Amino acid sequence: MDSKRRMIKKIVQQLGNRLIDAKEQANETVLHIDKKDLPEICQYLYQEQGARLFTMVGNDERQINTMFALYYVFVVDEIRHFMTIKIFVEENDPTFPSLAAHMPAFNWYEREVNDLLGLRAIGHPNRIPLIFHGDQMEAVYPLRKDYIETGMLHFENEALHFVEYTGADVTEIPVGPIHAGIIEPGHFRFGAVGDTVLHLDARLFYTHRGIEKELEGKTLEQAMFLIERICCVCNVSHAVAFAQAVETAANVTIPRRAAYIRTLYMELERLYNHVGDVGNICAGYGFAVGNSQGARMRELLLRLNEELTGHRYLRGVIALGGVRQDIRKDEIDRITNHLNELDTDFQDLADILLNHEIAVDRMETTGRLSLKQVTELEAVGVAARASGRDIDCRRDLPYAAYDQLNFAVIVQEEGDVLARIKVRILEVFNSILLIRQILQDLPEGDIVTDIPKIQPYKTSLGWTESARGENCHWLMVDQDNKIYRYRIRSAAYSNWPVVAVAVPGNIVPDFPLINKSFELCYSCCDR
Amino acid sequence: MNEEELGTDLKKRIKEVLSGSLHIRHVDTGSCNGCDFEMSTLSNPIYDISRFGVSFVPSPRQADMLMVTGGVTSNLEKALRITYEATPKPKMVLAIGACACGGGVFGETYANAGGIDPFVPVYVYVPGCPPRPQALIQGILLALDQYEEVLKRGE
Amino acid sequence: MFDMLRKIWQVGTVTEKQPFEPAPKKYRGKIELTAQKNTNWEECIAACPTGALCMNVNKIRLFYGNCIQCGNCVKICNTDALTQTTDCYQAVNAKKDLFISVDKDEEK
Repeated sequence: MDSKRRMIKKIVQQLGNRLIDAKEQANETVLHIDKKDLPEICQYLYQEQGARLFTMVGNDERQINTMFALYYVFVVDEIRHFMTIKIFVEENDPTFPSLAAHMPAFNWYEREVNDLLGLRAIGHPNRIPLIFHGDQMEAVYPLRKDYIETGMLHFENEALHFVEYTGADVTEIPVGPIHAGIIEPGHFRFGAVGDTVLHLDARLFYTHRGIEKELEGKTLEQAMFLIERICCVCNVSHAVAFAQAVETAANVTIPRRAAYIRTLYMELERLYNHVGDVGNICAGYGFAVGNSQGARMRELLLRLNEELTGHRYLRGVIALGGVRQDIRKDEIDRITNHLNELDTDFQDLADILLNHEIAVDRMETTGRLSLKQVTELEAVGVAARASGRDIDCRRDLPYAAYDQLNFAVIVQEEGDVLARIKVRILEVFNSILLIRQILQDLPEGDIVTDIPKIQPYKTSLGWTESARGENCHWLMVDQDNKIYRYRIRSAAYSNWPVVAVAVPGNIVPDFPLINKSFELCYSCCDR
Repeated sequence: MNEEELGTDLKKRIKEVLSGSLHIRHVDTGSCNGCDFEMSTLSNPIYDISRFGVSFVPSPRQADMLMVTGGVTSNLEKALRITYEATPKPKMVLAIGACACGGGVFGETYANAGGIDPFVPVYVYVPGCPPRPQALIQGILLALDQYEEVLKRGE
Repeated sequence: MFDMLRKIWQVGTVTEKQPFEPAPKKYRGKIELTAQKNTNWEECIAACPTGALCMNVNKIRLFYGNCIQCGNCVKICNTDALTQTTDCYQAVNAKKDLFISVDKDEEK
């Protein structure tokens, strides 16, 4: 507690008279400054205090105080506290200084704010549109409050803003958006010399459905259905992050039994994801035995999910204030028996995989990422831990029942595909141990509690660690207890820029393998 | 629909209508990837749809059937049209999931059209969020019935 | 190599010959709509997150294409007008078959 107060005091002192206003709420300090001081103060937080970027939100607050607002949320892991820098941007001067040139992690956030809100980042190195893939008739900014819904936007010529490759031997290979297998849409453009990739340009946001705009004006109960459908395989983590943001805003503590059951569902989701991903990586280099065994184990886990909750992907289990369904004694036995079988089954698969010379040869040194690249681009989750970055928000910012459970954070150093698959394999066993602890220590009590009305225009954060990495949800509620602004930053949003850095230097046939080793959801990123 | 009939029916029907094999092309026009994952579980060893003669092909030019998931987003509208036109006749289109049938939970937004109806003619609708793999097989069977009629009419 | 062959032998064939077991008891399947007097239709319609259940003049209409089978309407309904089964087979050929309409004031 003391070190926290000291650090906050030190930061506030450093700001001096540049600080216009400071507000404390939950475990977050909101510091309001003028937009011209933004680069210096963010640099200070980043470099001196070891903060990392959590999320960045652009909000149209003209109905509240006639300005646009930008919130830069940093988290300082060692004191478990959020430092939010807030700046106002005026309507008749919709610009703000860019941070992307020195801190590459801000790149996509600033481009998104430009596309959806019309606020320009001065000094951004790469200001091409991120979300919309063509020329519109006139510039529209859907996230502004005065945007009039006229149905779906149609685009004229698809503007091509890719890097041009010149040189006698360089070929340009465009792939997508509709890919050869059963996979989500995304466009990749390679510059290759022979078989070796020189450069990769990735364009995503094909499955952008406008969820954040759709959420505005909805009640909190209605919003849960939309949040669950951002992505199917991370849906429990998104639902829990949303529920946690609401509960923090309403100052509610959920019953302990509900916290344990939420953790159980989140670990079940992590299990089927990792088991399926290990199988999918084997498909990346044609290892049919690994692929089939992984797919078989995943199917059995999905059937377990269906028996427990009625939905194969665990939708409809998280409610605001707790969970919707309780767990019976016979269901606990069913889970325990299945996990015992999965333990030996998966151990066999892991042994086969890691002792197979050809498999290891394909995976070793492929798609290597250094610790420096991962830290600068603020990658999270499995991809970051496989390159030596020791972050896991289950341990660093505990939520649900994780502060009462023992688990290890798996970190590998090499940063190649083999390291990422090893992290997943060890996390499967970690999850099995966690679920056993949860089922053993499951406390009695209620499974849900009521949520009172939330104070209007108060901001709150919710976060979880999904199978891909850390998700962050930012919520602001209006005076009718409906959503005013919701910002979703999923793990895939942070990690997609890192994929483009991992590929150059490898051969083109290795690209599906590298892509599968990250296993990022396109729809989590695109919303 | 009886579960027992599903397997034998599928093999028999594919043999009758298409002389042994059915090629499916999957098109994702902006789904949350639930329906896509359910389609890929059809190829796992437990369901093993390839023993019925069904395979997922990499190009629409080789396809008899398009399985479309997702309500059409503004960035993928063109891709859906081009894929449909590239598929040789006779062709069938299946709308998989609530988003493709009627917009699902998203409906019409600035980036989502709310269903694939206005863009391509649909043979079979398979609702669900996501529909179970068994429901997908039922959808394929229904599509084959209609395909047979289309072939008889000589389109 | 040998551990791979041993694993394949141990696991054996897992393909289910004759499909597929019926959906488990907890599965949230097709919603059945019947007409019942004194049903709180307005509340059920407000509870539907996709707008699949709606009212048109004097008729209540359920559009299966948009139904995500969440079960909200069944929970809120104060009579047996809306029930949930474990039926997962709802594929149809024509879009009109996805709609079901009942008269609001009719009693079954």
